[in-house]
Amino acid sequence: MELIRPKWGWYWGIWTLMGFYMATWDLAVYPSASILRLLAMNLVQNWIWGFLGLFLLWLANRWPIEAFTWSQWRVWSLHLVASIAVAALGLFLAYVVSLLVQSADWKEPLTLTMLIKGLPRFYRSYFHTNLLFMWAVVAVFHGLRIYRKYKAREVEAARLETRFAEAQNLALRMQLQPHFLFNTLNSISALVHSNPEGADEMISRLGNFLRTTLDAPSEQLVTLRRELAFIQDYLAIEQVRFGDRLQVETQIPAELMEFRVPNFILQPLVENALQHGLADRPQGGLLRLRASRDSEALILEVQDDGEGFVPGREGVGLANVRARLGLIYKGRHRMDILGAPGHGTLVTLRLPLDLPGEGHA
Amino acid sequence: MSLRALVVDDESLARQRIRHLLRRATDIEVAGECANGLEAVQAIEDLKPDLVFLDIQMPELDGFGVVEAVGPNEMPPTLFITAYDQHALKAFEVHALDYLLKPFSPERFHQALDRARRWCGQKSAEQGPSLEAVLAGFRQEKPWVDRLLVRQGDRHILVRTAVLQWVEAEDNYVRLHVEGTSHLLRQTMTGLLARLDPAQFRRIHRSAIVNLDCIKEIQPWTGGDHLVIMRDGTRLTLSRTLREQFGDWL
Repeated sequence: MELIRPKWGWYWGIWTLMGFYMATWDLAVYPSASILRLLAMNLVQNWIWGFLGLFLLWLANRWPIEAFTWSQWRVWSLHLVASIAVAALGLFLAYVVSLLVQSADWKEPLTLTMLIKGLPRFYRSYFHTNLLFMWAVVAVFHGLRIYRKYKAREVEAARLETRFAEAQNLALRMQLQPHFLFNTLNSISALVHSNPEGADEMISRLGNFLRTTLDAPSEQLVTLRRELAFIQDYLAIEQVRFGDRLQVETQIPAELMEFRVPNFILQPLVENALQHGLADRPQGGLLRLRASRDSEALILEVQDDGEGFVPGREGVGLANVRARLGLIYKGRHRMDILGAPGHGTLVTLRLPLDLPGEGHA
Repeated sequence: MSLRALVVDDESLARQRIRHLLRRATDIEVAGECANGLEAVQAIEDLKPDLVFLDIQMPELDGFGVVEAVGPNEMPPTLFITAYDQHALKAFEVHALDYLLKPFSPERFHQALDRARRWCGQKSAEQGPSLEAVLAGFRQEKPWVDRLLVRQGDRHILVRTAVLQWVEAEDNYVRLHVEGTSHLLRQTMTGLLARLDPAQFRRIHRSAIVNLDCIKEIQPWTGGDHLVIMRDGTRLTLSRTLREQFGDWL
């Protein structure tokens, strides 16, 4: 039983309670009968039913009812037939027990004829009640099963949410790379003397950059326009720092600007491209940012002409982008990293267009 | 007495900043500027500056790579500059070497400069802070290199360890075999092995280290030795005594 951890104490407890309950019922009908005898009879009967109910539980565990649909008719029929059979057998055994108890008062021994004589009346009186018991067994089993499944799903959802928050937290922390921040401040302290206008510009760029980072919207998706504005502040700062060593080419058609993308999704890719395409090469490099679309997807490309991505050496940034895309798009996206040694790296994201709350161009 | 200084940083604005601050120090003249580690190694050997302003994060060969290439004992008094590097800072703190954190104030810069002046004034290298100890400390944090600096004629080039196929011992040198060519490096086998990532490089013989990615096959050979055949066809010996490290493979 993978979903139901058996709680046998409860199972037998309930059958025992039923025995007590039915003993009081019999007492109401036959007030002159011995209480102890009625109790003993009903307990034995209910325990027999409990024992037979195990078979129904085994069946239910083996072939559980998954849905209230016609496609499940075989399973429904199986449980219907099984419960009728178990109820019938259980009732027969209960009848035998009741006769044995009664025959203790009689002078003559119990015979087959006597047994058969009273049977139809016994079935007419009790069969439907007994069948209900057996259905209750199957129903409680399925009720518990659905509850456990629901709980498991809830735990799973909570775990996804935690991972989501972790990914977001990491993404945010990546914006505030201390190295980037302190180098930028250092550049500003040089510009203050040589190019006050440039220093002014740089301070406002850095301000915008930090503001975007700190005011990160709580929703996961922002417009491409907003994401690009953030990237452009970042790149403008890097261009002042690296001068001629950094060339940037952007091709983003205006009609794609309102499409929504996960926030900060481009920044780790751009940062990676700069690190491998530029920071690691004295002669500098070229960074290309492109966006396009086809009928199903928005396609974002970040390309550098650096050393080329080595498969299997995926850093925190890329892994985080991958994890976040997986959580948001649940496999309906694609992320491809194409690297050629000495010829740079191309990262392509294909993001589905039909997300709920999607903006339209 | 005027001190000749070399300014090394890959960002031109950062070099400009130091130049600007040095205008107030009339006893220091900027002898040269370098935009990367390789240029810096060359300039230190050519210009023999009295003082080096050395940025730590630079493309290809970083500040520590420069010290290592020049040799900690041959390195002039050095003022390290960094924006952020926890490994480096730890090494500096442990060995009480002064350093500058970007962005720094003029006061802080001149304070560090005063200390560097005193260092330059020391008659012998032993009296100054030990670069060798700092380098050793830094290596503990980051033991493996991804590039090796080798001399080719009168200039230096960098060899990426990823393209290094195997290394051969040659007297007091090691010969680095890369595709189509080889380079001599003044280094011992043990010294080099300590700097190479053991996930990629293993010593297979007294006189050979191989890049595991470049092995094509390994065959049993005589006397418990094995024959290692490299992708380019080179045949090397895996000696019996070093065989255990390939335990899972053989």
